[in-house]
Amino acid sequence: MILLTIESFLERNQNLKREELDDIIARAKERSLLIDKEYDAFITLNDNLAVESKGILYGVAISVKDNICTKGLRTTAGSRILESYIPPFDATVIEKVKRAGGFIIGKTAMDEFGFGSFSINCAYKIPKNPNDKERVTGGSSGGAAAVTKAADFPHIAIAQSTGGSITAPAAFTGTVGITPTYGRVSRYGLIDYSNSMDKIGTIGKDVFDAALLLQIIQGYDPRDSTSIKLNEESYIDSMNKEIKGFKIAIPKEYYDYNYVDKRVADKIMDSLSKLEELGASFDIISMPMYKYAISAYYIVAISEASTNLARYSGLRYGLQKQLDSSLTFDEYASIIREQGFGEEAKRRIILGTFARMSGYRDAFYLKALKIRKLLIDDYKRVFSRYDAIITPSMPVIAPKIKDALSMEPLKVYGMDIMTVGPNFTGMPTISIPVARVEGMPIGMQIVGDHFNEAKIIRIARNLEKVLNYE
Amino acid sequence: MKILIDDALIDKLAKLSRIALTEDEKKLFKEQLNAVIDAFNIIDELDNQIKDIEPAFHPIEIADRFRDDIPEEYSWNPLEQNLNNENDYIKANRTVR
Repeated sequence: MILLTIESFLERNQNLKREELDDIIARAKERSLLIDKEYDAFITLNDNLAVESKGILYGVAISVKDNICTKGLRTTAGSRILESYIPPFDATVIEKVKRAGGFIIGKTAMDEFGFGSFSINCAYKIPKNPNDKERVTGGSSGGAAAVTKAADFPHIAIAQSTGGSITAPAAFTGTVGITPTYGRVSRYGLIDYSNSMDKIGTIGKDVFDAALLLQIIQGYDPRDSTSIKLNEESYIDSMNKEIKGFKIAIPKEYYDYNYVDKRVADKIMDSLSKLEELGASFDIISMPMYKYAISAYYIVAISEASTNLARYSGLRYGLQKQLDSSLTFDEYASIIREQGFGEEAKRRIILGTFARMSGYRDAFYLKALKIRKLLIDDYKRVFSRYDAIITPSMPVIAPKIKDALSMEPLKVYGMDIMTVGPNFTGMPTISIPVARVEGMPIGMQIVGDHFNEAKIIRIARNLEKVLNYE
Repeated sequence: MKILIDDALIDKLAKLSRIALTEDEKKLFKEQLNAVIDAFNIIDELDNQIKDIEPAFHPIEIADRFRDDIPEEYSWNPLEQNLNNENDYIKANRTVR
């Protein structure tokens, strides 16, 4: 079976006969089951595969990160506390995908509520990297990236990022991940982690796939008060334009061997020569604020997480018990939460409660928000002179699962050093695979100014064509 | 801000967070949280630079937005996934003893 790219599949999908479509659906179902057996990439497979409309995505399988609500299909956010939760509604992005003719094959594995960089903080199974099953997929959208890498049928993944959860798994698996500008895609129906940073995005086998799905799910939504009214851009129309004259910034701090594996940094530097061949130029610049981003990011992320997760109290839905009249409400909720949350979720809730506590709020939470303003200003200064910033996607190649499981939390948080800057400040990014180290893929992260997705997709597409990564 | 998380503070945080932590979890978290908060303190280096800076609650400018005050029908039954209810009311434990 020759694997068709989605780009070529779209040339014929509008003319598919009913039987051909049925074959495609049956095959996607069978292969998804095998991918799950092999890589533990799904939390829930969809038994009820249906194409609801004949749009652009007619016949394309879509997997959905498990923190995005799907009507009638279990949605756990990777947590035991939502083990039996069946949403009575579709998230806006799911409505859009269904209207475009895509069909939902299942809900993909993730760190509980998105709390992780490796997809090992899992209440269900830990997904395995299709490049090497002993290694992590990256997190928190690990299942999304694993399915994308392993799929041999037309498939694109809906993923989600708070601090790097699309870039990390895309880089570790050798797939393409787009994290849009904060506000570009509606968050209605997304299970909140950190609502000033959460962004729904896409992971595809190549730039075309990831850009196509973003084009479909983007747009203003009155049901999300933080979604932005914009002219909806066609990335597919603009991605093939040349990038002659583009100016790229290379922040030297992101290539410092103290923070990033020398082999990874050097490979990214090497691939910059390809940009020059395409007529772009680059300068080495300095972004000294970056070392504060990780602490400030985590303070805001855990503060927002601890309030967002307060709703899981065993009252309306999710994990509940028969009432015991000898308990107070607080005691009942404390038992439910002790049983329903995993270790990392508890750690972040406790930390976030601390950072917002009276007496500490100004020293941590408010200070971190002021630093976010400084960081935004820093990025804006760079983008007043450059079209994009390029860094490695991750500081290392995917670690072995057993090594990742024994890492101290602080070391794991440090893995986000490349991704928290743009995520904290809401800048769009795309991660594309550019080379391998020890046989494992490494990713290049291209960062653009707010709402400049078209530009970074164009750079990625041009690079992808000349890189011959595989 | 230098701060040491001790047993009393862990107990208080567990109570505020409504999580009945086990003794093992309290011990583990006390150690790990002290290490994390110690690392967070790097942001104190920016104290002078942020003095007059307004906090950015969102990464982009978001204006308050209100929908028209028109009631909408729920298309689903909010009690559908609820275990403890009676006569269309959700039942919960008393809040004070």
